[in-house]
Amino acid sequence: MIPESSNLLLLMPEFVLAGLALVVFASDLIIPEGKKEWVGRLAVMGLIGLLCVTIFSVMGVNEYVYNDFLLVDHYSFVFKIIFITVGILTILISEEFVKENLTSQGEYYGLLLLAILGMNMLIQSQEFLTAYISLELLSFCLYVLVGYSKFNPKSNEAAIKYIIFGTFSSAIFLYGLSMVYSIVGSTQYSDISGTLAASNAMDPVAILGIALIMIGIGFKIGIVPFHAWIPDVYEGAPTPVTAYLAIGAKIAAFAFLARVVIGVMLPAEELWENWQMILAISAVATMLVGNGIAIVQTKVKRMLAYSSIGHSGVLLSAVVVMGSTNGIVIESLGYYLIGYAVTSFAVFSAITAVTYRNGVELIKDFAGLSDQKPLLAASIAIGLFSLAGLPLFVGFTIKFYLFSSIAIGGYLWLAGIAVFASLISLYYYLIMIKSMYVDTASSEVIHNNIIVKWPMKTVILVSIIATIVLGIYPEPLVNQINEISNLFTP
Amino acid sequence: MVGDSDSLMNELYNIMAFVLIALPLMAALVFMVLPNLTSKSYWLLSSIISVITFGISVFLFMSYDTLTGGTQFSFTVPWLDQGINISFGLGLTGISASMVLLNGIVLLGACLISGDIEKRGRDFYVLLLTLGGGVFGVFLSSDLFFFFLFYELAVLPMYLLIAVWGSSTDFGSFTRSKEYGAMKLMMVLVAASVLIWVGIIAIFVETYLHGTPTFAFEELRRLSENGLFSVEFQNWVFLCFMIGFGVLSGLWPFHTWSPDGHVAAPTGVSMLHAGVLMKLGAFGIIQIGIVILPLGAQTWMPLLMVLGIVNVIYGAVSAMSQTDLKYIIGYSSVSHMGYVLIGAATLNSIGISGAVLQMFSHGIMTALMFVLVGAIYHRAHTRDIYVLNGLIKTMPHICVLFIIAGFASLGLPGLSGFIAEFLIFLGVIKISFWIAALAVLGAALTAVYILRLIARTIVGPVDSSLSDLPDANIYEKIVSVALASVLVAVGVWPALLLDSINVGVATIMSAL
Repeated sequence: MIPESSNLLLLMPEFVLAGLALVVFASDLIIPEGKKEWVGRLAVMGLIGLLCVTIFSVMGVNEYVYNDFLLVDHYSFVFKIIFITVGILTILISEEFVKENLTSQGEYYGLLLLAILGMNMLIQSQEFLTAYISLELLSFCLYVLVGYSKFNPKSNEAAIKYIIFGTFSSAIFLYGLSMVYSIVGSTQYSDISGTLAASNAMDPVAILGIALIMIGIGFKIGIVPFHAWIPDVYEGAPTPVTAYLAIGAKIAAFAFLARVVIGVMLPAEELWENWQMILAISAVATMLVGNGIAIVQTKVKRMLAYSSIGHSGVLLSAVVVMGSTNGIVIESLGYYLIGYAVTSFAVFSAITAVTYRNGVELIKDFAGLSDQKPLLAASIAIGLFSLAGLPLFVGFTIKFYLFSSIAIGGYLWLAGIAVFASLISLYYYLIMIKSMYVDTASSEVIHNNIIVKWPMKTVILVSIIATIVLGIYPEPLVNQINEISNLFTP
Repeated sequence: MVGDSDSLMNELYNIMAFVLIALPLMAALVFMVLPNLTSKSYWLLSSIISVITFGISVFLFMSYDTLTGGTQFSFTVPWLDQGINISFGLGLTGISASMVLLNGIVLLGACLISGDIEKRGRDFYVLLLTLGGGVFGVFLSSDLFFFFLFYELAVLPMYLLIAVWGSSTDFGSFTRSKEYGAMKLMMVLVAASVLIWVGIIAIFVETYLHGTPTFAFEELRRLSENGLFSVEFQNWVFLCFMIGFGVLSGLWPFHTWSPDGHVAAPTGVSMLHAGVLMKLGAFGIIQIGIVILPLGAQTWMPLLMVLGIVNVIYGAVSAMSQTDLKYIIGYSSVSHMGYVLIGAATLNSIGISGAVLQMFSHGIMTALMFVLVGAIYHRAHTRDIYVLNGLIKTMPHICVLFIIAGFASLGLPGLSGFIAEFLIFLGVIKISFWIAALAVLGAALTAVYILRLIARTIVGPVDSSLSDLPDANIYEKIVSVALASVLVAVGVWPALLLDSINVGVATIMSAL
């Protein structure tokens, strides 16, 4: 039994993070115009401090706080570390982009910090209303960030779409929750799962409620058929924000979904068996639709948006096979999320560097990049090969691991479709690579005026190295994640 | 002290297989990290690396003890203890010994011949060495996970190698661009690997559910002998392997990527690709498919034999109707790989030995042909056999060697192709007289297109536009003479290879 604690110091990382966000907002008032990058650097330094705080305060802890509303355990610890690291890298790649393209730079960083706070709360909540509020905190920050490029009509359009879809899905989520509450009388995961598992003949209201909650989460993740907002939002958002949506927000959403599935669905075996089939079909549709439509895209960010939908499908396949006896799935899911994050950073950081000054959008505008900016081209190429699942990169190892665990869970056919989907993805990634390495540069687009400053260079080098190292020497990372999965193995 | 240095030597001896894989890959990494040099210096460095890997591969081949047999130079370190339990395992078998030697020879030749690469030299050699290291890895792996990893690693550089440094072919009414060839090759090979991947996962899941999760060949073989894999399971998984690996060997009707890819690739890459990469598929069928899934192999071998004979005939007929030198050799590869598939499908020791020897012999022969065709194209700027005429007067060296390679291809006694095909015929005739008859017919068809090629381009009146072309340069001479002498050496003294191959095949036969 996990002990209940009244020790609020366990929430130290969140308190520090909230304070840091306020400090960053305030520093924006003090730091003069023209030196605004120091707001971002302050945020980075604060986040690095926060990493230490998190490691010292909650590592190895496994306790409930706030009357069982929050669970501080190894799972949330690992994901907090991931969220903070993703935050640091996102701020580092944002610096030049923000300086060149956005007005009111200070709040940008503050909002990013609040989004991290939302994610942290989201994954440690053990109760749907807390989760809902955290999810809204995250979403509201993202709504603003997506529309941050306020003189760019695309960015505005993206923000409006995102807000409408986002609030719509939140409403569905809340409606489902109200139905579940009417049956169970509680919003805690453990109470809901207890009632669901105990009642043999399932109450239709409860079934509908759970379904609406899952649809709400499905919207946030962007699985088919709730994926329509993703391409437009990814395209319109400022590029670093796109990276943040595709990496940070996606990891948070899947970590949350996994927690809900483990906490609420798994104990109710009968219910979960039905949901497995529904989720499996949705996963297949997500993989095929995402990767299929990505083939015909001509804009880089839309292509990556559909590719990101495809990856959601792969991740969803792993959620399908979650079962109480199957710790290996959680292990491989965690490993996949981390590998996906470093690989995506290799791609997105370089694309941010290419787009921040020239505003290029089309795949064909990347022609000649390998001659003029070999580092950026290599970073994108390594990232794309890794996303397609080719060795020596982490993409191969994570896919092999994840597909194996899907097959062990009894869904070999799903693993087969996932392998096939990554074959499709290779095709459109190769089109991008061809543009960079084979085609000659067009006269209109010149990449020579791109300046890669040290924050950007750091992120690019770190993500390339991590993409290779985690691919050929994954053991320390996997051992770390393995401790999570042990938590869920009875 | 003596003991210490002995154990040091032992250590070194044991990790030789690892060094062979790591050296080209590390060199590629170092090239990427270090500041840019000129293309020539990368060529020089890569040639030095490939001389060393050649030396190591000869060493490994020579030190493979045919009396002991089995897997030697074993090297295993745990890689992932948790969850799915993977070890990094290497080992040399009788079959992989000659395959490693083949790759050592061809990689060295490919590096030496690529001295004329000017554009983005660093990237070219990084990719070429990655390809070479990946192929060594496939042949030496004794673990299914790493076997597959290295297999994909060998495919990975192909797209850029062909699309950036390759050449397009204009057929008048249509063109086959290098981008087309590269994309087709890449997509077909990765599609084939989808099947292999599914098969590997399926095998792993069986072992996992049995409570002994493993990817190691030895372990899988033991489990298979204990009857872990049911007949139905073996049947469908072997079909996945047969088609997946078969595609890489140019199995009809999935062979069309191979001529298009070979033609578009630059000379060095064509050599490695037709010479070594196509062998990976047949190697997979023999070393993994038959050993781990013997019952599945018995079910599907008649089909493989029929498809193989179609390969032989269809490839030869296609080669007859081509007008581009490289396409002729590309289709002749399809035809020759058909013999390998038939040999493997006999499931008797003589046929499989013949198949492995044919893999080696064809690898050297086709590499030699691509060197020579590359040299001709480099000078004449055309590969059209209706344009090229009487080359023997202007390029005697190239032409004489071309004739030797051609004779090896059509199975002239005294050259390596003869022994290999002869063994395959012997193996096949035990199974079916008619298949053997068709295989012999294929050899006759080979003679037709080879002699047609020689008659068109090498002998005959000299075209005035071709009369002042220079002969082979020093590197082309070295590489082509070296490759040709290997053909002759194996032809007159096949025991050189067959000793170790027979040991390897005996191990495989004991699984059946």
